[in-house]
Amino acid sequence: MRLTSVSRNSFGEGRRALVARAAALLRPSLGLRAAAAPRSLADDEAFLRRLERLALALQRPPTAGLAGDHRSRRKNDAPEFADYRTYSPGDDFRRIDWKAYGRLGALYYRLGEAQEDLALHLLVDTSASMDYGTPNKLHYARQLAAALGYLALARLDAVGVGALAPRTPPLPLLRGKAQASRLFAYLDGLAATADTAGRPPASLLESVRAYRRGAARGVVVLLSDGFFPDEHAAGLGELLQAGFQPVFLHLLSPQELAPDMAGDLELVDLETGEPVPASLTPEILARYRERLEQWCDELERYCAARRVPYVRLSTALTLEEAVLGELRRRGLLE
Amino acid sequence: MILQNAGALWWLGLALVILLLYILRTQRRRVPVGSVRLWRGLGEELEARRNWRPPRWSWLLALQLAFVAAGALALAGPVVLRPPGGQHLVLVLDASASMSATDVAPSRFAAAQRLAAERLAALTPADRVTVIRAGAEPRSLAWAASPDEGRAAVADAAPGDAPGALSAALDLAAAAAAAPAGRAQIVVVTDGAYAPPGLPAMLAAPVEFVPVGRGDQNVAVAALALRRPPNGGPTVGYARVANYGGAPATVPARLTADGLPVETRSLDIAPGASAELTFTLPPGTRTVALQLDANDLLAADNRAEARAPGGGERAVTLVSAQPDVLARALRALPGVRVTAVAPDDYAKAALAPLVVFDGFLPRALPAADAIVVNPPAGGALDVRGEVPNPAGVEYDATNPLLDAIDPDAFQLGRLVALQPPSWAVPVVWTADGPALLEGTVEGRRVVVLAFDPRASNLPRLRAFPLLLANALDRLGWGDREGTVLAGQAVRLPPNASGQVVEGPAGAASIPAGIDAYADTERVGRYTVAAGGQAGGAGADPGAGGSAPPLAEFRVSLLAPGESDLRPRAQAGAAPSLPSDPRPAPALALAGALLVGAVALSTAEWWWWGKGN
Repeated sequence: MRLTSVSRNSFGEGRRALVARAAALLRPSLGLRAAAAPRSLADDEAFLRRLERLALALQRPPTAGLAGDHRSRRKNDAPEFADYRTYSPGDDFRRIDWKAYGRLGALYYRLGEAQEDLALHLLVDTSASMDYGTPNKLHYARQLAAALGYLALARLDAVGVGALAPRTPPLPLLRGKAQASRLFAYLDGLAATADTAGRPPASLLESVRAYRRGAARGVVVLLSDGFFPDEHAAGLGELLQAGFQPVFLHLLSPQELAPDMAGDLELVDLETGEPVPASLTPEILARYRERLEQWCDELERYCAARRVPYVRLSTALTLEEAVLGELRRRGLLE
Repeated sequence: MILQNAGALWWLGLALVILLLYILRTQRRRVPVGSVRLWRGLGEELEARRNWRPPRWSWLLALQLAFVAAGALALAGPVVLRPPGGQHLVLVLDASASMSATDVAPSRFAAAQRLAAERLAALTPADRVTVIRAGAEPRSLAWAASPDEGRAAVADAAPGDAPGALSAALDLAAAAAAAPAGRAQIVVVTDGAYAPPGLPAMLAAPVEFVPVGRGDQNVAVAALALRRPPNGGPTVGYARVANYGGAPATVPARLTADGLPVETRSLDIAPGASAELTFTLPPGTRTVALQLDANDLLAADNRAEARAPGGGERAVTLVSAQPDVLARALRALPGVRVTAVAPDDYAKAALAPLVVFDGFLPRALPAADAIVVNPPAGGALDVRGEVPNPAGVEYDATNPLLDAIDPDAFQLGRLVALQPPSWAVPVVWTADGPALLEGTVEGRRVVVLAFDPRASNLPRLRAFPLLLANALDRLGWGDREGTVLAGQAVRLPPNASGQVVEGPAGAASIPAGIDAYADTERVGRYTVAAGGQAGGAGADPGAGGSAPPLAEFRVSLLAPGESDLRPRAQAGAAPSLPSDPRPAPALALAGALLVGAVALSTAEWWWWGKGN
């Protein structure tokens, strides 16, 4: 078992810098909406402190190689006692429980419970469709990824981060809060891929394959609006087959959940540039909302069938409402 | 309910335009969305690709259509009519000269007013009245008014001294009868003394003639004319005095010239006959009057006046910076009154019927006859410099401008290089251009002296005043000569705006843009004076103390149709259309509809603002 050695009371200059960096990324949504008053560093510090008290409550995925805070389903030679089993030749005789042998006359082998760290992979959808809505979905995804990544780093979990875009290299696994700055900087640099000139947008499967190649197994949090050019099943299935535990955070803007448009319009797809003429009447808008609901339900049913956590989030929620409220309520955080 | 202007309903076509705008799609606004996946195939896509669509219900469309409908209806002037039953009495009062006859005390017109008042007394307050005065020009004194207003209009009416335009008055009455004001009835109160053509062919309502007058004793001056012999001898006059009565008449006739008695004769005239008078006027006579001292029924035709041709005073305005030479020459002519005006004061000056421009010419000629002397460049004529010592004088010896003048004696020191206007004819010309021209432009007669008399020998020649006299004989206010008939329009002097015409009925200021005076319904003397110096009418022209008038004219009746007062059968009433009961307007809805249209427009604006 590995013990974390972070002093929660230390608040040195390095931490101040980290808070400032986090605040720069998170502040626009830290519990606030656009028109709210600016928050102080103390507010950001308070939010980070609350994040540090949270932990991912996910089923343990395959290990990332080092011990961590999360219980492993595998029993090994870790000093923390977990169970007994009968001795087999070849076992380390140092782990024979001689007290049990004295009472019971049989050799029992002491099994220890390994505590492995969680490899958390944050995959942010940077397709052009994410650059839409108020608040902006991509910005919201970066903030959410920053919060989850910071939370994991504070737990000494390994954190990987990448974009759902084949040409954007992922960040190598980070460990410890000291690496949070790199995490934030990477997220800060993620921008929507606006390249639609003749090339179809990258599929989910293609992006997942590009990312998982060489990545340690763990939890993969997909932050996306779900508007993949291919079927979501292919990408999620690829992750599941590769031993990852996917988590789908489905981000939708208020303008997508309840469009406030009306009249004769030409709707233009941000990813493909495809125009769709539409005469938006209340009846058409109602049918759109009905279709949206069906689509989200379909996604959720697919995920539920494969034990993939699915959380639909409106970017109208503040980051605090999303992290401290919705994700905790859905059992993803504890 | 009726529509007073049904043609305005064409504005309802705007509703079709609005519907068309809703049916035809305009350029679609491009709106980016994250993905169109969920928008595809919602059932409207195919329809959305068409360039038209069936109009959908929207409050904006409804408000706009309602606004157009309310506006068009308001312009159409809907009127809710009162149920028929009321009477619309159209009274035509003959106000011609004959209605002043005194065979019915105190006069035929007063009797007509009494008869009209009796008709009005029989009306109920719900009835409508139109009163038309048939004078020289028909005029409505009350239009579809209440009986009380009709009574006031009849009481205020007065007769004139001119022939009445009864036919035109009946046209006006027919128009009034066609108005939706109740069951129409036209009543004409007249003595029947009008000349054919008398009545319109068809009237829209029954016509009743109410006769007034019974006497016929009247002697009148039926004609008065003056003529100046071509040989320049004294002016001779001709007059005819007619007896329109049924009994012989002996009438003293007094002839006066400029107010002084010339001759008195006693005329014995048989019934229906006339006596003719000829007379010779003293030299220099300006006005002649023939007065009959008859004790008959109509006084207006007992006197006639006329202005002597070529005689009397002629007003001339001289516009010049150095008026001495020309003013002296003009004043040397008999009967010419010269008023000198500096060029700077020209724009504000009251001009006489004849204007002499000397070394000055405005860009536009005034509405007056003119003599242009030494025209400068930049004026109404195309002047292109000067030619010193022009040579080779030639002329048209037959032109009246050169009567008794020998142009060979002219020595012109300087000639204005003038491009002859198309309307002018050269009378004297040199090898370098015309020197004397005349012509008529836009009704104005113009004589042009294209040289400076001061730079010639002309002022020293007798030909100079002769030339000016010849020019004046061809120019000036010709209409003032002879007799002006009552009701006849008279041409006013130029720049008459603001001037005052004073006559027997009072003074009237001339509005801008008016160049004729038509309110000559009363016989007598009329004067035209500059604003602020009126007061000459009726006064002795020779009396001093006030500036002489710019113009004057005398109005006489000289209308046998009015002087013949004999009772006669009324001209047959014109056939009339069946008189349908015409409901009277009770409530005009145009105002309320306009208010409604404005309210709808405001609501539409509010709705649009709300939607945006």
